[in-house]
Amino acid sequence: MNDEKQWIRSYYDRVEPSEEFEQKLLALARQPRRKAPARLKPLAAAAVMVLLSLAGFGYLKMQRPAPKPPVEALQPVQPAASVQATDPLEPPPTEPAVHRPPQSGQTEPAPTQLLPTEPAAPTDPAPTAPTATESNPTEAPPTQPKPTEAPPTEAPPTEPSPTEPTDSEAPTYPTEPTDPTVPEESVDPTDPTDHTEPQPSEPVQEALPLVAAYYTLNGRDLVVVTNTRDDTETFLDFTGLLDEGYYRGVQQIQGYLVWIEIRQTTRGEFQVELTPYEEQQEDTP
Amino acid sequence: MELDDEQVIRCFGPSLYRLAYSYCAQREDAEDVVQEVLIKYLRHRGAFSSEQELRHWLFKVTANQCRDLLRSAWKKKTVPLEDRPELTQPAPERDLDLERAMQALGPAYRTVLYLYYYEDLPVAQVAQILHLSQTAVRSRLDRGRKQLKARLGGAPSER
Repeated sequence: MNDEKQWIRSYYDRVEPSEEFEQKLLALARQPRRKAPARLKPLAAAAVMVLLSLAGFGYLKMQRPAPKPPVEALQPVQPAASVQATDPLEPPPTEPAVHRPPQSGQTEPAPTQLLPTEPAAPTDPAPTAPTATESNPTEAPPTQPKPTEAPPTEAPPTEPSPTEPTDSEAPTYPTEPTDPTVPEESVDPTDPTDHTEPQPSEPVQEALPLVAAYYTLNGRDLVVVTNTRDDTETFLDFTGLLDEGYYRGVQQIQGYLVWIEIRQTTRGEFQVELTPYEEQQEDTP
Repeated sequence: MELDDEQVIRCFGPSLYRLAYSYCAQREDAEDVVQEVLIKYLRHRGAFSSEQELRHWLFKVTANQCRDLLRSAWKKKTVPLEDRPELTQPAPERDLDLERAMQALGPAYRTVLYLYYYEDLPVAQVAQILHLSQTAVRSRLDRGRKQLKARLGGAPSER
């Protein structure tokens, strides 16, 4: 036993770090001491990072939208006419992006105008969104559907005018006062180059005189629902709900309880379809 | 603990270097390991209440660092004989035999023998440092002794 111990000791006695390496280590040990205040820097930096992260977390928490607001939480957006009135300098005729079915100032009923302007509905393929991503219909129906706040008595403007006074019922819609690109009432529906052109859907049946059209405005996903009988319009904001290219939910619009289904085609366009709630509910498994 | 950083390096540096050399069998690698360990110590200084605790921690970190080094792909390369001065430099025949015998043991046995015989650590502490069971430590001690004796044969007193 002692032999091995002596061998090992004699072996390791000769294993020593070089003098140069020892000096290097000693210099390493002296280095932080010379920079004593530097020790506090990581602590201070860590404290600042923690504070910033907490502040950022709080900010994000405040800014983070609700994950999936219920359908009844959808807020109608401001109609174009009222928004337009806030910016009188905007030249109305040059605005190409009218994203609603043409209805104002027309003596003819709106559906007859909407049908020819529907470009994608017959040719679009099946919806790309998987059915598994559909919102649960059992969660969607609101227990107390909010009545549509569109002004039923308001006559549609015969001419889109930037100087038109703001609608008295406009406060019922969330306003976007700083938006200068709000679509106007008058639109050239035959403009094929407008990628934000609404894609109105046909009225589902006679009992549902609603026509819905999707359009984007400043990155917001908006749907305008027009009552073909009195041209009453309701604007819905689906921003953040169409990330998966599909949305389906129940909404009470202008007194009609309808399924509103938005799907994205393979060409990237969104189609809106309205279905009476009772009928669709029966088909829903 | 009353030791300052320089004293810690002077006191424990050579022991850590020997332990690292037991693992790596190369001076450059051993130096790298010791340097890394001491940098870690400088970051954690003040957290040790006694020299014994510090010593145990340093040995343990050194063993872990050596294991990481040996596992790394960088280490898995052949080393030319010219880079091993302890094998190529002229030395007494007896020392060369001892060198070869120790090198032939392999790091698993060398480290156990070093900690047990040179650092006089008990088996339990060796087992903790090397992440081994005490039975494994005793087994390696026994096998290492036998292999060393078989290679060297005669009594070390002849040297």
